[in-house]
Amino acid sequence: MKNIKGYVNFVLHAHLPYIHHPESEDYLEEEWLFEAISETYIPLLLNFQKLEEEGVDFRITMTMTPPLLNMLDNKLLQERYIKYLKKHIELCEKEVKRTVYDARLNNLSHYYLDRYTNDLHVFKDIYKCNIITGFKHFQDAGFLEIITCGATHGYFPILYVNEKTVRAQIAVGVQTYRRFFGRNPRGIWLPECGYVPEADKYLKEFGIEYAIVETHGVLYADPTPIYGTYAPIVSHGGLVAFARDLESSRQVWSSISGYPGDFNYREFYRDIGYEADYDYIKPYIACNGVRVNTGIKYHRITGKTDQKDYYDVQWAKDSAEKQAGHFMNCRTAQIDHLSSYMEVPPIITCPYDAELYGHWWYEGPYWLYILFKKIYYDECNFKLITPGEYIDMYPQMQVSTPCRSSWGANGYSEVWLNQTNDYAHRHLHKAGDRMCELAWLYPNEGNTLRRQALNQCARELLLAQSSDWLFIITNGTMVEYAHKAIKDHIGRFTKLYYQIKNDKIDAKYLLDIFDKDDIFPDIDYMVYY
Amino acid sequence: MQENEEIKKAVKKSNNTKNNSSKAVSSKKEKVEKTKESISKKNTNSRANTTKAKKSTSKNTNKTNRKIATDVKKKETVKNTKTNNNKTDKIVRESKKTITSESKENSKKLEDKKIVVKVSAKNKDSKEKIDQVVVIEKIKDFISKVVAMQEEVKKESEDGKSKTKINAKKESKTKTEKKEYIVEYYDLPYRYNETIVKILAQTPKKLFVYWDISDNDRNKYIETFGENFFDTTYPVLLLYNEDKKYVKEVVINDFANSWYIDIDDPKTKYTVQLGRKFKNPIEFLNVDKLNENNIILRTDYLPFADSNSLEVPNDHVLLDQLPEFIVFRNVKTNAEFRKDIRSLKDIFGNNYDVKEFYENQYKEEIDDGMFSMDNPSSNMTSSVFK
Repeated sequence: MKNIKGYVNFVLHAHLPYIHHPESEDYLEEEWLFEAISETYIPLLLNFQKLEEEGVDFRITMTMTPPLLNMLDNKLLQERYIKYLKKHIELCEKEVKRTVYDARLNNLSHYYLDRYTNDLHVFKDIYKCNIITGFKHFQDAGFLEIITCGATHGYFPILYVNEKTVRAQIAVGVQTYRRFFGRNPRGIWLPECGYVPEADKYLKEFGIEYAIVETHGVLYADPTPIYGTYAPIVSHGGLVAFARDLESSRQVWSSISGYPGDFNYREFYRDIGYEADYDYIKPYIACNGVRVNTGIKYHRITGKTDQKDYYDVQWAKDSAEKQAGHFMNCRTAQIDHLSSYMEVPPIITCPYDAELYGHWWYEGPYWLYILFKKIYYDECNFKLITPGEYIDMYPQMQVSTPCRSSWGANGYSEVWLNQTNDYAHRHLHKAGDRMCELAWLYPNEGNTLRRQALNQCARELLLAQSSDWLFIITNGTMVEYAHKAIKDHIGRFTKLYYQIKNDKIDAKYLLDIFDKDDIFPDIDYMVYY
Repeated sequence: MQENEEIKKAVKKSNNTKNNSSKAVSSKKEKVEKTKESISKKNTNSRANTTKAKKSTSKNTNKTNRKIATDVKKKETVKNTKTNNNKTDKIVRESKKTITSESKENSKKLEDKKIVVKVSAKNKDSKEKIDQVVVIEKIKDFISKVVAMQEEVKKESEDGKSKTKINAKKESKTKTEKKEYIVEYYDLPYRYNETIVKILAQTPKKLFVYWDISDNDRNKYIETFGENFFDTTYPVLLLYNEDKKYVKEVVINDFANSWYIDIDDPKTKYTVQLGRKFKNPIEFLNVDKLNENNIILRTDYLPFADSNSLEVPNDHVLLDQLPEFIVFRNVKTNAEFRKDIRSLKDIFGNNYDVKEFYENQYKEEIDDGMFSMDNPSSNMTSSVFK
C-alpha cells in the first residue's frame, strides 16, 4: 500500500492553427498537421493503448483545440494525410534499398518503414481516418481528461478590448468540444495561458470550472496564495486556476540539462530532406524544390559536435527509462518536502505543448509511457491526477485572483504585441466591432443566404484572431504565410461585411470562401449578439 | 421544387431586384419564405441521412410534407415567435441609429427574441451529434444552388428572356465539375477613418496605444480653428493613472498612428486621451464655431478621444500585502470561511509562515523579481512547429 502524499498533473496542450487549402496542394504548412499526427498524436495514442492493455491506471489531461479537432475531422486533410504517409512509405522503401551498404543505417530505414506503414494501418484501419475517436476512447475510459480552448486560440488579453469577441471564442470553443466529445468540458487551456480576470464571468457562463495558468499567474495573484503554485486557487469570479510547477518544468525543458538533450536521443536537425542527394530527394521535399524536413532522421545528438553518430532506438529507450526514474524520484522528494507544510496534498502541475512530445522530443511519448508505468508500479508517494479529479477531492481552496499573465517569453503579451505584429490589432479589433454590429443589425436572421454569410463572417473573424499568426511573425519563420493569413481572413470578413450591409451577397464568393474556411460548420453568429 | 422557389426568392432578395412591392406584401413574402424555409429545412434534414434520399421521389416529399404539417401545428408557437421576430428585426434595422428606444413594445420584442434563441439553442443540442461532413455538405449544397440561380437570373436579365427552371442536370454538373477558385488578393486598409484611441498592455511596464482621427473631425477642427490648425498644434497622449490619480503627457507626432508608452505602476488602471496642444497662444478664437461643433477647449489643449480603461498586469509577489485573514471557498457549495493567517499550521503543528515558504520555494524568483521564462514551453509554443 502506497503512502500517497500528493499528486502530479500532466497537461499536454495539443494545438495547431487551422490550415486548409482545398485550392492547392502546394502549401507546406499543411504538413504541420501530418507531422504532428505521425510524431505526436499517434505515438501518444499507441502508448496510452499499451498502458491500458497492461492495466496501468494512469491519468493525463490534454487540450484538443477546436482548430485541431476541425482539421482532424476534415475529409480532405484526412485524404491528404494518407497521401503524405504513402509518399513517406515510398521514400522509406527506397531508403531500405539505398542503405544496404551499412547495417546500422539499414536497420534505421527499416525502422522508419515499419513506423510509417504502421501509422497508415492505425490511421486507416483502426481509427477509420479519425483519431479523435482514439482520444475520446481514453477520455470515456477515465484515463484522459480532455479540456477545451478558445475557438481559434485567440489571445484573450489583447482581444478583451471588445469583450464579446472573447465571449465568442469561449462559446465556440465549448460548442466544438461538445460536438466532438458529447459532453461539456470541465476545463480550459486559455490560449497561450493568457489570463484576464474579467473573462472569468464568460468562462463560468459556459460551465468552465478550471484553467491552467503560468507560474506567476498564481504567484503574483492577489492576495498571495499561501501554498504558492502547489494548490489551486479560485478567483473571485469562481474560476479555479492550476499553475505550472517551475521545478519539474525546468528539469524537463532546461536548454542545458533538460531531458530532451540526452546524447542518445534523436537529433532533430539532421534530416535526409536536407542531406540526401537533391535529385533523389526532390520528389519528397517542397513542391517548389526547397529542402524541408522529411521526418527521416538517422542521427543521435551524440554531443556538442557536428560529427553525429547514428541513432540507436534501444539506446534512446534506455535513456528515456533512466530519465523517467529520475523524474519520478525528484517528484517524490518534492512532494515529500511540500506535504510537510500543507494542509491539503500538494498538486504538481506539469503543462507542456503536446507537440513537444514526439515532434521535438522524439522519445517523449515513450518517456511518458515508462514514467506512468513506474508511477503505477514503483514505490513513490504520489499518484497521477487530473485537475477535475483534484477539485472533486479537495474542493476547498483559497480565494485569490490570478495575475494577468501568459506563458509567452517574459510572461506577458510581448510575443503577440510587439513592433513586428502590432499593426494587426487595430484590424482585429475593428473586425470584432463590425461582427458585433452585424449581429445587432441582423439578429436571428431568417434569410438563409444572409444567415450563411453572417456565419461565414464569424468564421473569418475567428480565424483571423488566431494567436499563431502573431507568434509566427514574432518568431520570424514562415512570416509571409502569417501575414497573408491575417490579410485573407480580415479581407474576406470585410468583403462579406459590405456585401451583407449593401444587401448584395455574392453567393459564388460565399461558397468559395466557405470551401476554404469551412471550420465550425454549425457556428451561429449570434454568439456576437 | 419548394426549395428551388425559396432559393429563387433568396436570389431575388440578394440581387436587390427592382420589383419592390409594398411593405405589407414583402413582409408577407418573408413569412411565406420563412415557412417554406422551415419546410425545406425539414426536407433537407430528412434527406441528409442518405445521399440516395437526395433524389427523393414525390411520394417521399409528400410524406415529409405531411409530417411537416403535423410538426407545423406542434411548432405553431415557435413559428409565431419567429414571425414576431421577423418584425422585430425589421424594426431593429430601421431604428438602428436610435438605439436608445425604451418602449414597452421593444422590450416585449426582445423577450420574443429570447424565446427564439432558447428554442434554437434546444434545436442545436439535438443536432449536436450530426456529422460535420453532412453539415458542411448541406451548407455547400444550399449556397451552390443559390449560385446557380444567381447566374440564371443574371443571364436572364442579360438576354431579356423569360425565366427558366434549373434542371437537375445543371445541378449535378455544378457538383461534379472540378472546382475553380476565385483568385483573391487582400490588403489591410491603412485606416478606418474613425476617431478612436485604444490601449493594450504589452508588459506591466509598457502600454501600446493606437489611434486615428476621422476626416470629419479633422475638418471640424480646421473649420473652427482655421486652415493651419494641424500646423499650429501638435498631437499628445495624456496618460491617466486612475488609481494613483496622476497624468503624464506624451508628445507624439503626426506621422505615427501608434506608440509605446513606458509606465511606472503595475497593477493599476490606465486610460489615455488623444488630443492636441497649441504651439503658441491662440490669437483669434471663433467661439460660435467652438460651440456649434461642440468642442471643449482647455486653455491650450484640445481633447479628441478617450481610450478604453485598462488594468496593467502585476509584476511581483504581493507578500508585503498579505491580509490578516485568508478566505477559503468550497467550489462545490460556494460556502466561504475565513482563517486568521496567524493560525495557519504545518503538518507538525508549527506555525506556518507564508513568507518563509515563498523564500524557501521561490527564492530565485523573488530575488530576481522576475521569473525566468527560458524553457521551451514558454519560448516556444506549439507554433514552433512551423
